[in-house]
Amino acid sequence: MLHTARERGRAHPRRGGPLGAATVAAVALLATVGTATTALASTRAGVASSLPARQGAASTRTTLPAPKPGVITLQDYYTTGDGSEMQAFIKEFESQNPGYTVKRDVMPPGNAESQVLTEASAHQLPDLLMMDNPWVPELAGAGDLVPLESVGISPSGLTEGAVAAGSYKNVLYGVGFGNNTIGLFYNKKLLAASHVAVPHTWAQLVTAAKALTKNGVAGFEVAADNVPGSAVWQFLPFFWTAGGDLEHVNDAGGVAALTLYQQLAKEGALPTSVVDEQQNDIAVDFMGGKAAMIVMGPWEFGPFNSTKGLDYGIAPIPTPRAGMSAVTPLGGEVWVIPKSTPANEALGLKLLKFLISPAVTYSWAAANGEIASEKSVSSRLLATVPDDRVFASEIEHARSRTGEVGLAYPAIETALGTAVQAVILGKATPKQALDTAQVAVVAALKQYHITS
Amino acid sequence: MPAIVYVCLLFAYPIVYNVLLSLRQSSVIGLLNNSAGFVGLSNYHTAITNPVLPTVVENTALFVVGSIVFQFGIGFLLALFFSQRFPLSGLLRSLILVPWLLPGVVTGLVLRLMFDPTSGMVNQILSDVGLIHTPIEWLTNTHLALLTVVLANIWIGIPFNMLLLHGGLQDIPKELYEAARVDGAGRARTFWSVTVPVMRPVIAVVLVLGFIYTLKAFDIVIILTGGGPVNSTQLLSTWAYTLSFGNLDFGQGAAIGTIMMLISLVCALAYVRSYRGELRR
Repeated sequence: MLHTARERGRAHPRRGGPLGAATVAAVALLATVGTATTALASTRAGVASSLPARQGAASTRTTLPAPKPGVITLQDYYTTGDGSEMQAFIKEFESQNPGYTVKRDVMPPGNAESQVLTEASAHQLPDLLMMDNPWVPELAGAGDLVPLESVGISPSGLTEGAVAAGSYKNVLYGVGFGNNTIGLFYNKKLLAASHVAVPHTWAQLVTAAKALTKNGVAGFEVAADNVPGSAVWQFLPFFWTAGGDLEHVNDAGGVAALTLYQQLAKEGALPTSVVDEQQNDIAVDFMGGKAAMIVMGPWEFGPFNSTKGLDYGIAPIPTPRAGMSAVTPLGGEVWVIPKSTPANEALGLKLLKFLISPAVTYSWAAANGEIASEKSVSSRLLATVPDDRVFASEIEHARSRTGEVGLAYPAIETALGTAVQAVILGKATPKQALDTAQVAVVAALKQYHITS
Repeated sequence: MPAIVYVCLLFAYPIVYNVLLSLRQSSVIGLLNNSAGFVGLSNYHTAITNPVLPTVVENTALFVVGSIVFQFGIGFLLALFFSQRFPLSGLLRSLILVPWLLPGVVTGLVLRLMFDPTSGMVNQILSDVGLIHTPIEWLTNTHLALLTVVLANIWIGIPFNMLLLHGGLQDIPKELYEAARVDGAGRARTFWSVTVPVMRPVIAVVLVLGFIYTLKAFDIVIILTGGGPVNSTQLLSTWAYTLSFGNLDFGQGAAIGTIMMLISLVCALAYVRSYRGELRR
């Protein structure tokens, strides 16, 4: 139970939901109209980035035929618990819609991305598919997804975070149950025993972490494993809040954020062993009382609440100075309709509409600590789940990981993850490490023709 | 005829596909909608000028040489040991094969637990014996991680070396040793003048195969360290994987894969040539 929940948590911190200039949106639209896909690559660079994509989406509205009862194929990696939550939704759908059967295929979370990419290249995608939000640019960019506005799903009722997570170049391709981000989890007993107040600034974080580091307890832990997914996902709140820029990682903001890691590691308050720990590993340390403060997200509420003797609190990620708002990365899965035949797309749409209905999203978001995609649902939820308020306020400033750098993000993530490790291990100064990373960043931006 | 189909389908196709991939601008989008244009050798150029490459090449060289020297040396000693018959020698010999029979992923996971700095068996034993006082960070220290990975790979490779060399030793006619003894040769003399010359073809096979297996070692490294920390255990094989499936830069990953294949090919060809030369003599 705990294990699978954590596994899902780990699946989040990959690359983030997209939002940005409009270049490839237009390309995707061309594909919608039926332009040969081979033309895409050549058109891509040529389309002016100022093209108003939203309007384009409206003008190419296509209406799908009414769905005919039959089998709807669905693919997801919601494996929380025994996956019964999702199973219950499907049962409900089938009883409400006689004649329809859902054939569900559960992907292993660790392999989901490569499985989706493999199926996409063979045009074997299901009628409705779940993806982590950072994969949207990959499939949307290739013209493999149905733009949701063209089939009548409007972004107007959705939270800003939900729109950002499901969009690529300002066109909405996916809607999920909800979104999440990360905050500071602290062990109340350990803080009280050391007479340490909850830190809100970086200086307070360093002082607190130092004071809490004793008797085999680490004051503060972040994931820094060199599978860069979790390392960079957890570093981004510090990086972005300090003004860091993914296109120029060695700017003052980036250096300042990494200097914080350097300081924490030098003081021994951030153990060097974190370079071998993924997000789920530091969650285990926290549950075992071996880490006093960690960076974590709401998907751990379940495991943490069922851990005997763990009394924890949640605070926003500390900021360089008091009174600032932390800028955190946007997490969360989305449902997308892969391009296929109109009949199959109609089936996918029918199931999608059920899954993003207020009743279903409410029940999901309440159980999983996510901020529901629909505004009305999320405000109703926030009135009842106090733990979620920290994340709700953070999500207002949350940023998608692929928004600025799009398809170059994976390579930038690898480079930045290496820099984080080098500094924690004392192999390089923050400036040196980020200068090295910047070389790779420039190469990646150049490869995808992203100019800043 | 079936052999040709088999070879084409299962060997030629992936190799050709990989080479083609390495010549195209194979980003995710290009791969998905088949629009990746040919870019000549630009992926190779990018890979070779990549600032990470020198580290990767150095790591790979140390990994391959370190692994082979000890795998071969220890494997040979064990082979000599087991070529003498003694009670239970057959059973012990089979037990020694276990590391080689286990799937790399299983070995990797078990070794990860053993090398854990705080709860691992290795540090536990070393500190119980009194050899160390502070835990050694086997996998997170950038100076030690490569050594740890090499140690693990030596352990895995010994049985393979032992098995082939043991087979070779069994084939040496007993008369040769008897003749040497009659001529008054000592143990060392017998080894260098009888065993080694007769074994030369077997030794060559073991070294060539060992080189190729070590060059493409992947699972154990990816599980133990994933190529980190800070690329300190990044090998050509793990780097190709990171480029392809981490950075989604399939072109560059394929370029590294092709380069690795060429290195193995050159090595294998050199072996075949020397083998032919051997036959002619």
